[in-house]
Amino acid sequence: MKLIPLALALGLLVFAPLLMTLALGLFSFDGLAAPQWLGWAAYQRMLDDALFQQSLRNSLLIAALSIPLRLLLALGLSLLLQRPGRASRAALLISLLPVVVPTLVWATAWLWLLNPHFGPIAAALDSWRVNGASWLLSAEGARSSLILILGVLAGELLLILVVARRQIPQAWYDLAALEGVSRLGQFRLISLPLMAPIIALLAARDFAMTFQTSFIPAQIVTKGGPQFMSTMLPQYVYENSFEYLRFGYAATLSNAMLAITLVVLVPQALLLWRWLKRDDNPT
Amino acid sequence: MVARQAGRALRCRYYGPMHGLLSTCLKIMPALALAAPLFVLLCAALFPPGSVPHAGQWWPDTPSLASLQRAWSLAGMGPALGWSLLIALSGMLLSVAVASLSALAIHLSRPLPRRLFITALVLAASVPYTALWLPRFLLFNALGLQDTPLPLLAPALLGGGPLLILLYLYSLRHIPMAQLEAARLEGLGLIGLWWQVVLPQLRGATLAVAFLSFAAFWGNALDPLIYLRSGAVTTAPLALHGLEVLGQGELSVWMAGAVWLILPILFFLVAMLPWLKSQESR
Repeated sequence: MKLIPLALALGLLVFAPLLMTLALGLFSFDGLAAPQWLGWAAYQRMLDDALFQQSLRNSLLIAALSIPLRLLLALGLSLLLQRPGRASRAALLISLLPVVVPTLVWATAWLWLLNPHFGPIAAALDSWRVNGASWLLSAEGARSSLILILGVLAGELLLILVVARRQIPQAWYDLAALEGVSRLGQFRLISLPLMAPIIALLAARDFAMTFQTSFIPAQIVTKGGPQFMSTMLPQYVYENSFEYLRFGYAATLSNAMLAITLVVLVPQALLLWRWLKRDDNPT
Repeated sequence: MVARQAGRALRCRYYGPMHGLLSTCLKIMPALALAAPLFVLLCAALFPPGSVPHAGQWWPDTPSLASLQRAWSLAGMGPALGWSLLIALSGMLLSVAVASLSALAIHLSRPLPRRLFITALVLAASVPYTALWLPRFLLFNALGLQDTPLPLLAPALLGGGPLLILLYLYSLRHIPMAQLEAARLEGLGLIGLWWQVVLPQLRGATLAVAFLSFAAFWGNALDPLIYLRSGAVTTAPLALHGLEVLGQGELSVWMAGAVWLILPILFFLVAMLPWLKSQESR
């Protein structure tokens, strides 16, 4: 009885709209005329769409490179900040800032940094004998910029990893030190194995989030260019939905995105299910 | 406190006074590097409107607040910030109430429904937002809620997001079940239990959920683009997006518009400092 409001909210705001999108993906619908049945031809059309292929490639590439970068940054910093104190607290708060300011603000800041004429990054590239202005206007430059913009958003992961690291009893590290295990050895033998499940879960969650919502930086900084070379899949869905009013096709694209996300998240859900079962039966 | 001071003194004696300074720099410098784009943004907002920096210039020759003033008046930042603040505060309060009550209801249920709801929450967190855009848009349009702030508050009915309910659920594990059962035997219902027993013990989680939901509602740029099309209601991200039409010539005004959006978040973050300190001392 007490779970009914939550069930209703989940049903009305998530699962019913999801079912509707799954169904709408099989139709052609512009919001004005009645929907027209296309069936699996809708998905064939999507697979033949060069822009879909390009935006999918971009999204996968950017997620595949920005997530390891973010995880490595967060893991490295979490080891530095493992001991509580004023400096650790300040460093945590400073690293959290980019994550908690609106994404739009974060993307806007990069518009200045990446400006081909006066931006500090273009100037730095020039000093390394790379033509900063033209590199940032190239496909590789646009995609690398998005990887950098999303990859350095490590604050939230850092907070979670610091908490996870501090929950490992200090006595284990003291014991390892007594046995003559070096700092690096302690990290390899104690920290990494114990933090591995949470790192795996965070990587899976981050993949879903980056893959699905890395929309604003691409929209603001690169505008998907040059020549759609940095268009992201969610951006393409948005344009089809609310700019071209191709609601049916947008739903088809969303369903493809859901399928790819599930491939990554099903192992995560299975892991969680096992963990919950073990929690309910501790023996 | 005394133990900590003694520890610091001992470390200082053992490693030398430079060790503390080096260790502090080693911790702070990478964090500063991560947040550097925001620092550059603050500096960019101090360039006068229309000025063109030379290559690599990050600090203006004559710093001025003119871009901030221009962004304020051009984008109509006053009313936009007002609407955003109203939406973010209402969304935050509703999210805290819904997330904590839902988590408590799950926590008190039997193992099977508990597992089912947790799995449903994890799945709900995995659903791409793009898959929900269109049906929600059609639903709110049919209900006549287009161009009102109400569709922007819809995520609060799910506690601001499934992950925030899971966060409360995790925190609830630290309250002994016997304590909750004793309170129920005393005649407390779900609401009484939530208000009198659970919320006072979960101040940390409540602050975290309040902050995360406030930041999410405050920074929401996509929903206003979809639902607020007539201009009768404008949020701060929408106003900032509007400054895009100024183009590259007035980039400092655009940057200044972004600075206006950071200020409430900074205020909230500073307010969290005592909590962070209390968490560390536990």
